[in-house]
Amino acid sequence: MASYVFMKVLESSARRYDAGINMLSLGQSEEVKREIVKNYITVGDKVLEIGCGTGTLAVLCAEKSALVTGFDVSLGMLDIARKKIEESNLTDRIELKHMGAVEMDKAFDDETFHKIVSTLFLSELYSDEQKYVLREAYRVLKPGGLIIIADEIKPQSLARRILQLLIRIPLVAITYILTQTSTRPLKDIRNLLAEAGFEIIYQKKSRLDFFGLYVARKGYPKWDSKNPSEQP
Amino acid sequence: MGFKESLRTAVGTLFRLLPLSAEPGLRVFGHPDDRSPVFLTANFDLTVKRVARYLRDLDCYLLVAPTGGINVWCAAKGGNLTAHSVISVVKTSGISNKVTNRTLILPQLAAPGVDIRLVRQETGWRCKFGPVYARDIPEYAASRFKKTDGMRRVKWPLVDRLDVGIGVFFPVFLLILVILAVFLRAWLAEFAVLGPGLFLLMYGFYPFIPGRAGWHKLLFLEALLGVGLLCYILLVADQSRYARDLLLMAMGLVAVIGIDFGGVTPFYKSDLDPLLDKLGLKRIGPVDFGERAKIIGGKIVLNQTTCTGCGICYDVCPTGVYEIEKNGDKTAVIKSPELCEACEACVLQCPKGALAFETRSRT
Repeated sequence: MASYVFMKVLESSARRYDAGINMLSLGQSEEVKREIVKNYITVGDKVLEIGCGTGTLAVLCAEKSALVTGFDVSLGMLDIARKKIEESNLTDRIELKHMGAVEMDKAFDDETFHKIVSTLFLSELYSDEQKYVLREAYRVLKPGGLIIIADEIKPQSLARRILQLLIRIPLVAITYILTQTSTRPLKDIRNLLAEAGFEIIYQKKSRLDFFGLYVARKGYPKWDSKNPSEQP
Repeated sequence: MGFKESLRTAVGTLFRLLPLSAEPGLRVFGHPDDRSPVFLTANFDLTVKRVARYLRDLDCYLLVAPTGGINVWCAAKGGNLTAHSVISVVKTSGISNKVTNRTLILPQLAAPGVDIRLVRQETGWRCKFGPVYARDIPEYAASRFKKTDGMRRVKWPLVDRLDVGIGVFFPVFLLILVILAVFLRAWLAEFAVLGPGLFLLMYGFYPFIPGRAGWHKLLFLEALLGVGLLCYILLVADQSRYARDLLLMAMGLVAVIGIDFGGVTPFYKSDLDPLLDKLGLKRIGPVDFGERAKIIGGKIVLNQTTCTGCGICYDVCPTGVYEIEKNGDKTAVIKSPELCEACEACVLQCPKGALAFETRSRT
């Protein structure tokens, strides 16, 4: 998944994005999305997709009769998502919003969604933004709801970290020159999730540990005898 | 400074044209309390390090906004330092819980990019523009955040000329060096000496080279070398091909080193955009040379009837184009239009929309 850095290049030409990203990730991007939908999305779920890009995952979720809200900061990506949704006749099940991640506080009410999904998105943010997004995700998720994250991660073994660095350097350089942006693999997503209040229930690493899938749950509120007002 | 940071500083200086990110977020200096000032800067690694150097002895907060690793002015002009980057760092840093004041001090050169009304609407924070240079911040803070005209103006001293110049010249130098090393060993040593030598001369003596705009200076140098070459050919009896080739090489190098001799400075307009536009190169990726050429060729105009004389144009202009007339109805006056370098800070910041660039229609 080191090839993910190319995504920023592809983003500038949103139209070629899907084919490009799937090729560069050796099918991983498509594969993980199918896995998420198969294992974690159920009929009638209210799903939020953070950073929906061209809407591939949103469409897959909606095809399984979920009600999806997706947002992205790139208008070019959203245009393609919109077309894709129209072609699949899913306009009544998917709502798209044009907004950045830090606008989540105003956009959604507390405890709105059953599931939150986000693939190849968190690594685009800087660490304060990641914390902010996960905090907001916790807020808008219903108790017992799941957050499912698939992203590029930093491997734990030193040898693999060096390998990842070597593979990434030329890609990062090209991306820098062409788009002046970059991404960084997530360092400790487990910690971030725990800090936001989530309980991790499943994790899977693949592609030399360069890529990870994490599923975490928002617990039910506990009865607090000292502070009964917190009881829902 | 550790080895890694020194290396980053060196890379950032030599390859200044490429972004180099520092982690966005909140930095704390000294022992600030809930009434301490809050400054903001871009997340170009060198920028953050320099600002930090001047904030060291203050009690304050610094927000490093996400600008894609690009410096303040370039990011502001290029759409990487906008209201959205400011809103993002204000919201995610939790600064609102740390201080009771709601005034954010932006670098003045952020003015071409940040829509401060949008920041206020989204976050409740009021933005004001501090000094151009971080080195003026201690004095600015000591004088209870009063900005002098000196703090408003961009400057182009020797150390800045060399610093910026190296970043522009080094990648090209390196590229040519590699090409010569592979294909034309014979000229490698000459190039390795002549390149840096001419670079030091051109940037070192920049203000003393005749000519008002960047390309005037460049033409002057080329003419000087051309005359030298001509004299050599016509007058010197015992001619060597070597000396002639050396002069030709110098002419080529001067052109390469000075390719955007106006645009690299903080007070001349870029000559490169109009040139590329004329050559038919309207845009590369997101960079629209045609649009920029139009603005550069244009002229700033003020609508006197809507102007209220609030003085924001005066405050954000880095070259001192404006005066505020104090007698009677206060309005801004475009006093020195020839100093304008088309950064458009005043156009974006004017709350009444009274300023615009009148672009010449091209035939």
